[in-house]
Amino acid sequence: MKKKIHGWQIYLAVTFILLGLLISTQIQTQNRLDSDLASQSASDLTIMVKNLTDRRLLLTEELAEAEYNLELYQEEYLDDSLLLEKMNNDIARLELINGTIPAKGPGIVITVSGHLLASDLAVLVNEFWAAGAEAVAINDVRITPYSGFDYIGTSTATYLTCGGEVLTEPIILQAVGNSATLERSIVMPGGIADNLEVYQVYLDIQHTDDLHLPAVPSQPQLQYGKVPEKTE
Amino acid sequence: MVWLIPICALALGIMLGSILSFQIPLWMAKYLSIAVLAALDSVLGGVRGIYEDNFNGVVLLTGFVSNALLAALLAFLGDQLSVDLYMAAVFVFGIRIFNNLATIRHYIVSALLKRHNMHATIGEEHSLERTNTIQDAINSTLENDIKH
Repeated sequence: MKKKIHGWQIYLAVTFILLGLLISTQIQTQNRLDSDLASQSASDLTIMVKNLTDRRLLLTEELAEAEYNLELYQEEYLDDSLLLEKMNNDIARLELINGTIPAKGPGIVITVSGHLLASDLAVLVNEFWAAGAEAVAINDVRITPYSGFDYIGTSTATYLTCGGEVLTEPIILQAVGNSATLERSIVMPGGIADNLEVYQVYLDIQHTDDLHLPAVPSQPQLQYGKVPEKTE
Repeated sequence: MVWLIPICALALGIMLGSILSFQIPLWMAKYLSIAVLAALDSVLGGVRGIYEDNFNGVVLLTGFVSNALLAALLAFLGDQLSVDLYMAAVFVFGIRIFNNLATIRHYIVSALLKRHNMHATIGEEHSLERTNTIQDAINSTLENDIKH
């Protein structure tokens, strides 16, 4: 039997191809339509809205919590950095007071002409501290809580010492602080300046805005002193 | 198998459609479905024509295209006029499709029976039943119309 293609088969085939195209396009469009929100039923949409609202609430809560945590961490960090800064400031202040770092600032410079005694130096420095001096140096030797004035004698001469350092004339005292107050404490009537004049020791006082005091070369090693335990 | 070529063509068409995947605007989906219905009706009419020996390829093709387009256009127009022509089209094409299917089924069954040398008066029965089906459809349409 010979196979023969009828004319109607061709026509039908063409039509069927077109039909197939149409059907498949329609199915795809319908699928797209089904996933489109506009074509969902009201109840489905309500459920979807409810789910999304719940989810949003949950996420909002999470967000709030995360923001709270963030704030907390930031505060902690801020606290830490503040504390660190404060501690650094404290350390710097204590170092300045102890003379372990150089000091600078306004103050007075006193150049002494005449022979001073160690006790005179002690009185002068005491006047400085009493007048609110924040750093004192004599002949570029920084005065610390451990500084003491003494004499050192050789076969030919006797020298003043400060903290073990020999002070050669002229003696120059420097004090950082309120220069007016400092000067007044020295030159007040019946004060140390008047007193020294009796012994032909004259003080030349100059104000300056830019004093530079050196640091002590080394800190004393503590042998007996102990830090007491803190009692709350 | 004379039907192999058309069936393969249908499969080819579906495959082509899924490969090409035309992106039709979503608002057209409704009208496309009507076009598909009209096209299905045309094709089934063509198949029926083959059995009834009055098949005309050109008529089928033109009918296919114009029916689909007109059905879609009418449904669209109905929407614009806020008349539900869409439902009317679904109704009419639905009836016609079932009608055509019934007729085709009868021809196929009678052909099979003939092949088994079963001589019966199926042709007469068929024509009677067909008349009945059409009558039923008209009746139900009328009933529907009266109801609404």
